[in-house]
Amino acid sequence: MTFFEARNVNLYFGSFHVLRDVSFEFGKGDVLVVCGPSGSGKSTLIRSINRLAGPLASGSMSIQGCDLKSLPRRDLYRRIGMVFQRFNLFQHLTVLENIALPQRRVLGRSRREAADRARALLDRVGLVDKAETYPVRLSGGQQQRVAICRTLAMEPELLLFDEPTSALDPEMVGEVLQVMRGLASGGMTMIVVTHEMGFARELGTEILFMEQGQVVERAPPVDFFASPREARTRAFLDQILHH
Amino acid sequence: MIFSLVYDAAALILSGMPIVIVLIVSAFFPALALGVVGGLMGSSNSRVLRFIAAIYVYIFRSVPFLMFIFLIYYGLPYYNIDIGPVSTAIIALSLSHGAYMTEIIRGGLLGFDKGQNEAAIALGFTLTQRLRDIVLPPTLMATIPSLLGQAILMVKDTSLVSVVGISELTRLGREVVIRTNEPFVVFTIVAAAYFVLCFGLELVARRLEARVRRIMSRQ
Amino acid sequence: MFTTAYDLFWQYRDVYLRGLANALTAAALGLVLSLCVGVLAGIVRFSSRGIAGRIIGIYVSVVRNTPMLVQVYFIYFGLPALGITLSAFATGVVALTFNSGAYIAEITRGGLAAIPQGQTEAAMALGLNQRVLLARVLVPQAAPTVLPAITGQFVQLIKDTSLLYTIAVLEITKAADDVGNETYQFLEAYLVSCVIYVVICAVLNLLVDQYERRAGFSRHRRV
Repeated sequence: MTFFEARNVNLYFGSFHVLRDVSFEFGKGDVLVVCGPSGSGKSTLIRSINRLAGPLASGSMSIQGCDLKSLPRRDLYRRIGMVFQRFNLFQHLTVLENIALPQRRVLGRSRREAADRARALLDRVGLVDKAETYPVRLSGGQQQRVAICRTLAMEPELLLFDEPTSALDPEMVGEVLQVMRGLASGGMTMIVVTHEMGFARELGTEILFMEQGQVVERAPPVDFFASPREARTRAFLDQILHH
Repeated sequence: MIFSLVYDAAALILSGMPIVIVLIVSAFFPALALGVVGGLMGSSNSRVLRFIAAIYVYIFRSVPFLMFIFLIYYGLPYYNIDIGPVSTAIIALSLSHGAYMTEIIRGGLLGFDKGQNEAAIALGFTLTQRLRDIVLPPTLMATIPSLLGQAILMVKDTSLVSVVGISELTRLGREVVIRTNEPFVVFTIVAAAYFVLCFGLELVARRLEARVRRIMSRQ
Repeated sequence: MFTTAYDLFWQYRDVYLRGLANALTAAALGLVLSLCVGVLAGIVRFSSRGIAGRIIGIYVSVVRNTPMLVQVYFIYFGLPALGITLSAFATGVVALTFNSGAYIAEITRGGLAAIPQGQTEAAMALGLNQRVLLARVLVPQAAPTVLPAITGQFVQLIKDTSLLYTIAVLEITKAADDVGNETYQFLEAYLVSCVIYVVICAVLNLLVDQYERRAGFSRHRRV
């Protein structure tokens, strides 16, 4: 069974047709990279997966055969995690609390267990010494790595990344991509909306190019970059790779 | 001679201080609770809830407090509720200032970072959890100075509860003036008493504000 | 209860309307006078480093940290002690002026203080004296922030007139009290007054919003 499937998804903001007949699927452990110009609907697409956008006008999406629309809230958010462009760490909590509190509240883990897991995750990304710091003191790259830990602590089956490096200064993009690289090679199933074509080429299993709400082209990185079929894809690649 | 007058007058007037403090403390927290509920309603996605909150705020901002305390004083017996002047005063103060606190908290909530709220949703927090752990703590911290400002206004409104028969500072002062015919001395004492209360609250507010600013910016 | 209230209103409408007229008059007079006092005080406080500014500072502080009722009583009992006898209504207007003046002074001062220091520096560099600086540079720029707050003050004044009840001025609250005393239907009598306040405030808010729309600013929006 395919791990995740989207069939003929349509979504409107008022009368504006944001997602037009979007379809795709991928398997467990895959990394689906979604790219396209701004306004193409790529953010809306992944946000509609965890109900931050929507509801869908028509079409359906399912994970492991379960229709997302009928999935109870708790299960949906437990199985699918999200990393945001602006990190969205809780400013009034320490780094450790950011990662531990959701575990306690949503998963019911004990204080000790949540803290231990949090520290372990921080250690993996090299930030364990920042555990008692407040987010505002951290750099963008550090905050994003903490944000990734926060959502990993919930042990999701699928991770959604909404332009995770777009709000970062260039010198910090690398450290975040490094963490994502580790996750991908570790077998995490991911959908990544990004402009980072290097990442796409290296770790993507498939690339989805969207424009104006439609899926224009879908291909594995090799084919996507070497011989794009559509003219629009070529135009986009020219712009993004050669400016 | 004048000293003993001042002393006696002050003693009598200040005997009204405890009741004022009781009123403030008893009314502040219900008002705050109303403010939180109202503020949440006023910033919710439901048009109905927003409307109700708006009406609540509008009515209490249009009707003077004196009027309102009369309304409650005469209104409750109508429904056969008999609770005495102090409780009446506390209810009036809570409801009235709750409306102002609603506006303060609503403003704070509207300014809250939407992104953090979304992150909380995406992590699976329920609405109550989001409010309790993520949204309200920073919002309340940020609005504390304004909320304490409201407490200062509450102190001033206690002067009006004398109309329902409570012997607080102002009423006692008025009685002393009528007896001694020394309005300047007496009302200066009364004014000083209020000044101390209000200024005291303002100092507390400033200290809390400094602490909040330090918290928000360990940072 | 509500039908009784309406009947009561109709029966005693001249009492209520007289109270309303008095309240509006007192508030209007209070606004005009407190504007004169307050704007001047605010300007003085802003530009004076000496004793005048300090005194006004104390005045504002006292008014803000003491209940208005105490101020009303102070004036009501104090003026006769100084040999000045005024009607209750006049005393009320004085009290409203005294109170509102302090708030307007603070609003004016705040508006002036919010103007960037650079304006003052430029004016001084150009050789403009203090008076010209104030009149032509600062006050006009403070106006957009100050005027909306002042209109809010007028609505506040209407509410403040209720305090004049305590010195036996026939305003809206006292009207209710009188009607109540005569008919023993206090709740209904007060309900009528309550409605009058809400309606008046609504009308005033509407008028003020209209005026602000014409004038191009809003007290709901930060300039």
